[in-house]
Amino acid sequence: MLLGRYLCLLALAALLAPPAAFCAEGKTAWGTRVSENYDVWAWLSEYTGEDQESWADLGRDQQEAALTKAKAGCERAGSKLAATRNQSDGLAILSLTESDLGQIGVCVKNGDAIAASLEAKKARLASIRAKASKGNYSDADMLWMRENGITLPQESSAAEEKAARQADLAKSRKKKYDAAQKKYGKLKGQDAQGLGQLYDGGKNSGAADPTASADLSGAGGKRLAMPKPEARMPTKSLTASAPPVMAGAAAAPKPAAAPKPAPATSYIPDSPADPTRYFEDPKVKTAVAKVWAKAEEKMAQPGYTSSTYNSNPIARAVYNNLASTRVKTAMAANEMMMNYRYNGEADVAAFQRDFGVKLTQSQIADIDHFYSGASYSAIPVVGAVGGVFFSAAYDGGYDIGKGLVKNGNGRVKYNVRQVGVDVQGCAFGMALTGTDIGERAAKMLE
Amino acid sequence: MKILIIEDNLELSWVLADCLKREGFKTQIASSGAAGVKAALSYLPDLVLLDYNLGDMTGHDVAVAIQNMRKTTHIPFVVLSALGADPMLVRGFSKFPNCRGTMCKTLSTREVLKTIHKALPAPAKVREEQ
Repeated sequence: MLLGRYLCLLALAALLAPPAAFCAEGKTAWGTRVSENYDVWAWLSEYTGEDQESWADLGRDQQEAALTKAKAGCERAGSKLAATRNQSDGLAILSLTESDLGQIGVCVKNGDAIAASLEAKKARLASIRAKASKGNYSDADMLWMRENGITLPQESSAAEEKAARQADLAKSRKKKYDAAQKKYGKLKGQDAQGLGQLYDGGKNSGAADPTASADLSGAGGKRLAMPKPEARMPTKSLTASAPPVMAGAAAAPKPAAAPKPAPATSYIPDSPADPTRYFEDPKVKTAVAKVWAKAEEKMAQPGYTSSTYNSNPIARAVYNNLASTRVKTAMAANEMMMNYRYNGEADVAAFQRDFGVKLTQSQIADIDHFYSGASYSAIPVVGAVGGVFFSAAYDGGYDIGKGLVKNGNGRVKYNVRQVGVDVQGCAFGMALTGTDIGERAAKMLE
Repeated sequence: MKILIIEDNLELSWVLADCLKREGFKTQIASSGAAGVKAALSYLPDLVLLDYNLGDMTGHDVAVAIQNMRKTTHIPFVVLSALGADPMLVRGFSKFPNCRGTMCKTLSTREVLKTIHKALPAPAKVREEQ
């Protein structure tokens, strides 16, 4: 039992024991795992030139010394790389020497890729710096931007869009131009007759009328005057007639100037405020209008005062306080007419001289009474009715009496007929007051 | 003329330094804010080219430090940052009397150099101060 246990232990010991030679000398076999993070054997191979054969020839102490040195080298390279892990490439390049990069590439896990990348970066940076140092700033900028992935705003796409838009525009323009050329191309090289044929089918084509055409010789570069509007032909008939006559042709007679419009009156024609409305004889109408116009002129004179209507308190009160401008105008007309009443034919001649209308003395008296009635009607309430009687009494009774006494001496006899004119005058005067009552009364009296 | 480049991107600093050397300037590079402040005190440059994002501190902090130190308070600086076109940054630095402008890093080297030339004090003035 004990013998069996002993044999088993011997067999296990034999299996676990190193090769006899190494065990005997205490050496480390080539490729044995000696570090978790670094490839120490690669470092030894690169920097000490050892290989598997030469390694076996080394003594135990030599091997240990080489391994210690290799491990230290690897750890130094590893720590240098770790120090630059959170730094920029520039700092890495600055802090890592070529020797460091070499060692990193040899012994650090994935170090070869890192070292190669840093070496390439260093080379590119050297290239940029070389260009900058030589003053080639544009190239240095371009390389720098490419190195750092900087892209300028997409100018290319914008330029493409712009070019596409311009192409579309050019295409559209060409299309329009072609259409226009097709449409108007036939006009090219045509003479007047040909143009006339194209213009209206030759209806009016033919030799140009020398009297109706302009001589354009020597007019090159000069601006030709356009015909005046009245010399142009109506546009409606352009399609069936010759083109408009140019300047230089026989000018069409200038149409007679339109008569000037009649001067504006202060009343609406044929309204109750129109004094001519109350008369039928055209001559009397004209005279009435002229008297009114002259009265307005008189009123418009600065400093005009009515001496007649300021002669007694009632008239003055009416004139100054109640009468409107139009009534005052009627008063002024009445005042003027007073001068043509008592001198027979002399007054007729004077009236004709002053107003350009030949009236009979009776007609002149009618006008006088008309404006007299209008003046009285300005008196409130009383004027509306009593104006007639005032006007009749104004001189009618007096003259009737006088007429009876002096009949046949050429003086016109004023009679009851003129009461009608007085009524018309009152109606006119009330219309001039501008009140509803006045206007209604005027209509009633009419 | 001495120019201090305070820039944490060393690659850019080197390229800038190369360009400035070619233009006849002497340069020194500081790759952090703290190093920049120290360099400003020791180097006493005629102009500081200042980045904004410096890692340990901002360009604004460095500008405040430079302005507040008696020996460096007169030193003008130009901000060269990726945020150089940011209106807030521009407005912030415009309050510094010594700030001679802000530039974006995407500007071409020629434009950067042009701005630097413009920002530098006149030689006569420098001599008087010295």
